[in-house]
Amino acid sequence: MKLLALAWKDLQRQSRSGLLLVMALGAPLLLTGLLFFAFDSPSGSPQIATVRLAFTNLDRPPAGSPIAAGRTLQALLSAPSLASLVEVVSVPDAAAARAQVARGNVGAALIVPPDFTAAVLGTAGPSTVALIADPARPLSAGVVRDIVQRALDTFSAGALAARLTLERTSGPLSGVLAARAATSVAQGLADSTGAAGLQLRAPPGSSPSFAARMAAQVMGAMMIFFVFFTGAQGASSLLREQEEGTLARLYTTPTRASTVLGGKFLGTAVTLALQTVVLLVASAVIFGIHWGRPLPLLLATLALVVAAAGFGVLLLSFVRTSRQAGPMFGVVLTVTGMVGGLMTATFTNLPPGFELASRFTPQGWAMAAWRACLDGADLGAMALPLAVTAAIGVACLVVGVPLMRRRFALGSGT
Amino acid sequence: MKVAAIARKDLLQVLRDRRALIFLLLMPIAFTLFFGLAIPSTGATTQDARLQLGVVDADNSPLSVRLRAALAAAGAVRPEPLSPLQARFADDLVRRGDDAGVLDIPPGWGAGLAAGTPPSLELVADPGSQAGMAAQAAVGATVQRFLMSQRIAATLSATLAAAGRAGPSTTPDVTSVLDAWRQPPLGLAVSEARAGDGSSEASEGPYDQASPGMIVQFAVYGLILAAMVVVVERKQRALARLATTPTTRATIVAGHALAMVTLVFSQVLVLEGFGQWALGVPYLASPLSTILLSLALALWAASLGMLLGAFTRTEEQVVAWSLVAMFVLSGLGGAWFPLEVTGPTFRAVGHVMPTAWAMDGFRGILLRGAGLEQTLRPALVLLAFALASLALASWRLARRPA
Repeated sequence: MKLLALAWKDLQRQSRSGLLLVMALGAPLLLTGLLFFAFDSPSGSPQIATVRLAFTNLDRPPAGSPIAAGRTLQALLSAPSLASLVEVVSVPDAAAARAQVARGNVGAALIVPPDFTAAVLGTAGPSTVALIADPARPLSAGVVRDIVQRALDTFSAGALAARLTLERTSGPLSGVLAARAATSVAQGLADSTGAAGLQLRAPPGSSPSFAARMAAQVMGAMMIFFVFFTGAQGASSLLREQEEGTLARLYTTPTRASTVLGGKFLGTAVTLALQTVVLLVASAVIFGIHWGRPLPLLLATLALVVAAAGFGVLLLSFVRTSRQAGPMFGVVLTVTGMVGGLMTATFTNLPPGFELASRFTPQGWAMAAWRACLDGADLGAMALPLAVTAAIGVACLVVGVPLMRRRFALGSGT
Repeated sequence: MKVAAIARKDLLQVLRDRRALIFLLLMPIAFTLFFGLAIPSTGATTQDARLQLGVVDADNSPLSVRLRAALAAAGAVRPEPLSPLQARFADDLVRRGDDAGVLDIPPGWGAGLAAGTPPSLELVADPGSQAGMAAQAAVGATVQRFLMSQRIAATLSATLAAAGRAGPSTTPDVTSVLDAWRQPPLGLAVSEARAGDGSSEASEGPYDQASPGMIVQFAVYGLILAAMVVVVERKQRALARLATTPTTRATIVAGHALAMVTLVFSQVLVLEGFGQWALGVPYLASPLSTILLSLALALWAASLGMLLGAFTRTEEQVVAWSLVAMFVLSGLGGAWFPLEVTGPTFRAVGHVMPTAWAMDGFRGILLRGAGLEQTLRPALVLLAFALASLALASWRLARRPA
């Protein structure tokens, strides 16, 4: 009963701490919410801002040319179908266009050279269109580059048809045939649907939206980070009790040292379990995260609670005062969290070594277990990360409890 | 003089606490290094940064081999052949993120393409992931060229046949058209614009986002120090004692603000120095712009700290609200990732935050080589935020009993 009373007292005290509530529940939800808000979109795919494109048309079509390719390119890029991606602005000269990019007024500038139409018609050699990108907006530059490259490919197809015809035929009709071939190819491409020839299929069970997938990964990572933080804070209640003198008063009562430690540990474990459950439910409701099957989820929660509580006890055994505790917990948990991959949960193509390094931290193994849970893995696939996460927690307790007994003179309790 | 004395007292008080140095300098440096390592730029590493694309080539014809080579040459993806056994787990490979996508080339694709009736290729990719979308774009662009080549070959055959010129030496096949694409009639040359000297081939380094991002985030940490000074002074009745001396409230507020501006400005300069000399982040590309922006950032962070101190009662409240402010201002302001990659609403909301203006200013200096003229606007916005915060803090402190 004493054990429960001690645990209950700690639970009450922690629930009254505004800072702990902010750190345990507010911060992970806030951080996930920010990222969800940043990347959520009606289409389910990431969005980028409409890029303002300065268009400088220096194209001088040859006399009698049937087309003005520079103007056609501008019309193509100004098509309503591209309006959400590119907003074309005419700028008379190249220097002004470049200056607009350098000032950040436009996202990119496209400069069409004087021989553009001649190259399209095949009456001149290759021609190069210049794209001036804003280095501060690389994503916008990439989008514009893809769009312009596709448009140029369409023009190039006609020009290639003309060039190949001229290479393979001779005589007075050669030029006529080349023009006919170029027109025919261009017409055919204009009539065709761009998506033909490639079908996209999403693998079953993949997340419906980019933001939802990101929210799930970030929420998992932040939950682990802040559960470890709460574990350390919970363990440090012993330190506060010592400094406030209540621990000494507790020693004067007929309470065993193991009861004191057990009560503290139980209070922390219940706090951690409550924190995890509240975060799981809240994130499922707010962000629509599907956390996986119930049994793996339950085991992942238990393993996380054991690891966080154990790690907290181990950390506390190295701390002398509550003034030391804050910075030490902050630094150690931040560094192990970073190495454990909690800050890079959504990164793809991480350099080699990051994955390996994460396996040297309890947070890294906990993250592996939660990732598997999110992927809907069965218990067999989750066994290793679950077992290692829990084993680290137990190992921390085995090392930390004797140190703490010595540190807080708990061995002297009756 | 009184202002300077109060500022000196505050600075001594803060610097005596070694813990402050951990959060003012060591943590931002650690975060900067970590995120710089985690996001290497393509130019700064020998690692292959291309996305892995599994390819199940059941056709294995000259054209399908050529398609694989073209995908590799395009630069965005790295095609990896999959065995028939691996191919059975294509969905799992994509779902787990091992492959950005899996391209299935069916038997007879090459022959079908040459004949003008290619069976459709299938790309297994998650349209909800960035990697999936990038793979889709890269494969789509390359496949488009193959289909165009077939159309060109077919059109030329028909045109030449109609003119009575068709023959083995004149009629091109898909392969010869693909060869012709090696020298396309129209090319695209991409360069980057920088202020002053026109365009250059410079590209973003690994720390050009992480370094200013962490400077801005941990400048906001200055909030805790600034607010704590005000709260602790009030709690220990030092403010009440000070009020019995011939010192005006304005002098007290100015003294505290001066200390915090000095502290945050020094912090920002040290972190910029570390960025410049240890990480190669070009803060000195425009020294005056960097100093102007750093000063404006320090003024704003200190003023917001004063505001927080004026409205909070306990140290615990200060820490809680400072952390919330740090997360919200850093996240929304683009300190963690460029606002360019976010949705329109987030971008609009983000630019209400002073941190977004600070990041705009820093990225302008580092990536575009922006001078004083271009940095003036973000600096003025930060100063406006600083003045508003300071005015509100002064008003609150004047009304609040010591």
